[in-house]
Amino acid sequence: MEQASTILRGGRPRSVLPGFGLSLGFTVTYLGLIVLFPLLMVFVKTSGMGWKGFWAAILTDRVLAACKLTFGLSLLAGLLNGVFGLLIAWVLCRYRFPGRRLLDASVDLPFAMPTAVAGIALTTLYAPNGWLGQFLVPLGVNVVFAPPGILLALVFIGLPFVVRTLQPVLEDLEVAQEEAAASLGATRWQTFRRVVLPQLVPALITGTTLAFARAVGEYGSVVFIAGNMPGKTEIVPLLIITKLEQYDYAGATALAALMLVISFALLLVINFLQRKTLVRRVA
Amino acid sequence: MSISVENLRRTFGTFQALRGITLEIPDHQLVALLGPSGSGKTTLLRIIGGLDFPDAGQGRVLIHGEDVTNQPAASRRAGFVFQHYALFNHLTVFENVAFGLEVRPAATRPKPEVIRDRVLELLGLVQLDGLQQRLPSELSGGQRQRVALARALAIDPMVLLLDEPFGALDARVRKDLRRWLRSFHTELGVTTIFVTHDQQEALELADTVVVMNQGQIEQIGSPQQVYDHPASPFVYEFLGDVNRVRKPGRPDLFYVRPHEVRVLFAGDSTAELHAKVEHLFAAGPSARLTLRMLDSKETLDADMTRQQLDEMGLSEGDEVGLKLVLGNRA
Amino acid sequence: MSAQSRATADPRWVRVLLIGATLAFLGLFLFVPLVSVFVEAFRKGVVVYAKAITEENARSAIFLTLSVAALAVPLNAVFGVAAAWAIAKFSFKGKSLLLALIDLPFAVSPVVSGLVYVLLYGARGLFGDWLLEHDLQIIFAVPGMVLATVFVTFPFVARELIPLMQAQGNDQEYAALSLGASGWQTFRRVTLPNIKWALFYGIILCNARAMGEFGAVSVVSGHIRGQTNTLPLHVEVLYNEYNMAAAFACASILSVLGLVTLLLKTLIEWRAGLRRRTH
Repeated sequence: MEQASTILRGGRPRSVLPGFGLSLGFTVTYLGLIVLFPLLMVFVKTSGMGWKGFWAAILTDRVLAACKLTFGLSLLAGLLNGVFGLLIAWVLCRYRFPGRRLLDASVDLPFAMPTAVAGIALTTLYAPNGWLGQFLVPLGVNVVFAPPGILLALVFIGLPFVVRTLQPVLEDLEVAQEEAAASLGATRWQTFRRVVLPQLVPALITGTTLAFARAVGEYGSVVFIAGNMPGKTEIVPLLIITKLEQYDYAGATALAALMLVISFALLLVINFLQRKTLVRRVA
Repeated sequence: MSISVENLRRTFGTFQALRGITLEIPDHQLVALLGPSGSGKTTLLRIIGGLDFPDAGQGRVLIHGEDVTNQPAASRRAGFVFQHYALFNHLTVFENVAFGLEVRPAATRPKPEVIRDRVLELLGLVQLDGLQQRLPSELSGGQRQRVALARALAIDPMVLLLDEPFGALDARVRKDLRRWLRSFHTELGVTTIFVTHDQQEALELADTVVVMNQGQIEQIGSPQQVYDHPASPFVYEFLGDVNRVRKPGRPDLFYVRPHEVRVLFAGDSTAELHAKVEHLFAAGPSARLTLRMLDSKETLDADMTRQQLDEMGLSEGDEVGLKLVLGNRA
Repeated sequence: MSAQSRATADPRWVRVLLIGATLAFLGLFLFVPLVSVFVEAFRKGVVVYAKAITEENARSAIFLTLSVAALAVPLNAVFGVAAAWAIAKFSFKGKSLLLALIDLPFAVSPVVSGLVYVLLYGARGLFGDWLLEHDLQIIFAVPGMVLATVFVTFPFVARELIPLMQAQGNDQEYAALSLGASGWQTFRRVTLPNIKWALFYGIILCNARAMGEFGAVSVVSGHIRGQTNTLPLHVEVLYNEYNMAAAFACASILSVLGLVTLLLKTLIEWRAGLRRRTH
């Protein structure tokens, strides 16, 4: 994997392959105009509010309740995705059965389906007269317009992350290691617990964090099923939109800044985890 | 075409890949750049081919007297054969070889029939007739190598540059191709430089061997010269098997090749050194002995013919005398 | 993966249990919602369905969705190729930072992605007065929706191309240059054929997201029927009006888009896998 080297000659980088200045210039300009400058605006506007104004906008009952709901359910959804993702990745990688390829392809459905479609489909399914809701509601399980509905939507959209992060790691595992464990007298469960699982942990954490990060910002699939009652089933992204619609730009911006800081922190964690996973796999 | 390189320097970050290389290559020669990995041989080849450039103001490259140091690869007409061939995977063998002709500006581009004839001629030359519609993925390693060569020859190169041309091939194919390339060069006469870390390859194939180490040239000479008269300890150790021996009563080290060690009976009065046969390996017409010196306890390899071995009736554990036959060397 | 030896094969009951659990979970979670979209869409018959997807507002929503994607996807495809060329083919300082920044839009909530443009181009935004003076409207109009879509689909193509081009190295490009090809010829005849499947793959994913995007577009759209409603937004309007059959009819179009995307994606993966195996 060799790269063209650039040499400074009379101030101009010189390289064998052409187009470095043009491609990098375009990349940086486009990135700046579309992504960085607009994102920067959030922080510029927020800093205009001052710390006092910022905290005043954040520390309200409604915002805190929305934060608690959003982060709590997202964390739960991430963990559930960790469990189900591990199960699905294991079954898809290790077992051969009819329909496996179809199932494998369908894991990406939550990526491919527009979130609004998922939102209305889940809401209709779990409504009291829906296909699934009609069985759950008599049992006292209210999904729609309640936190379990939000959780359901968040698990739905986060599912592919864990599966797709785990699959390549599982496929690269040496079968010989498991054979070695078996030859040393380990049971199948012991082999899984002590040999396989530890090697999956970094990828599992990465996938779970990715699913969590996605859930925190999710809007389209949640907004239909949540019911959006302030303080009860109102998530942060929806609250931002509500504030915008009420021309509370300061409040919306402060919340957006909070979300961005958390997203960036998560991004850093994910980058760190992925590098660690990579190092482990190379080593 | 003659190539000359003057005082080339190239650094990557803090690593000095080339530290002042000066080299003169006359017309029609087949030259080997020989050295261990990291010696700068590939960097030198790439700079000659225009795929890399020396540090600003540090050295010149001349092809046939013309300064091409700042010319891009595209206008140098240096046929480059890459270590892993770099064949265009999406193009057929024919299209690969035709590439260099088809990318020419319309004014100088040959007519399609001319390109066709030229490509087929080249494929004949590299003995790949009939394979023009194959994709690179459908060829063996040796065949890919020859496609890469034909592709480089299609632009009628002033000079042919080969980076580890046989490195990715298995031993037998390598030997065949080596012989073939030698006769091929004799036939075409294009000035050719190839990079290798295999000393046998360099010695067998090249008119001139350039031994490189740590970004510098250790020695330039014919295979005979560099093998028989190494200019430095590095060249000695890098070319061929070598023993380091200390003669009794003398402080300096000797470099002795295994075939320069004559094995004598233990009682022989002409023996300079005494050793014990530690290991004996005889396959084919020659035998290799690993000897342990009686005084210094150092080991030393010696070669002898099978016939000599049988006549002496040596076996492991026997004591022998040794005489170093250094030919015309000191 | 090779066949498992007996020592490392799970007991039959474990396999049956786990496969069963997976099928049940994915069935309940993915297939039932997907099927329900089409069932609900046709609940009132084909005529209602046909009418719902051909009435004027639906037609304009479809047209707007296609237009937004037709602008956003090529922009991000060109960006992806340029970014991949710079990052994969050259070494320079700050490369890993640039890589991280390109991924940034994926980490940002779609709602925030829309909001940032309101802060810039909205009536009270940074350029609000200037835009008003020149009688230009970006927010609550199509340009804003294109911008928001470009933002959320920003990394798709670049992400597919960068690792591939890094893995391919530069030797083929060097070979082309040494054979006398110009920079453009090298790109057109050597680089592009080598990345075309990854490029196509990235474009498909980018397009699916562009056409299906809801949150970001919702923020910058004025929700004006027949004017600034894309198909997902149109679905929302119909749903909130309890016009279920029409909402699901339009949702079914989006689902078909998702399914086609999945199909193409799987085909490309299969094709790419096939290629890798023949090497």
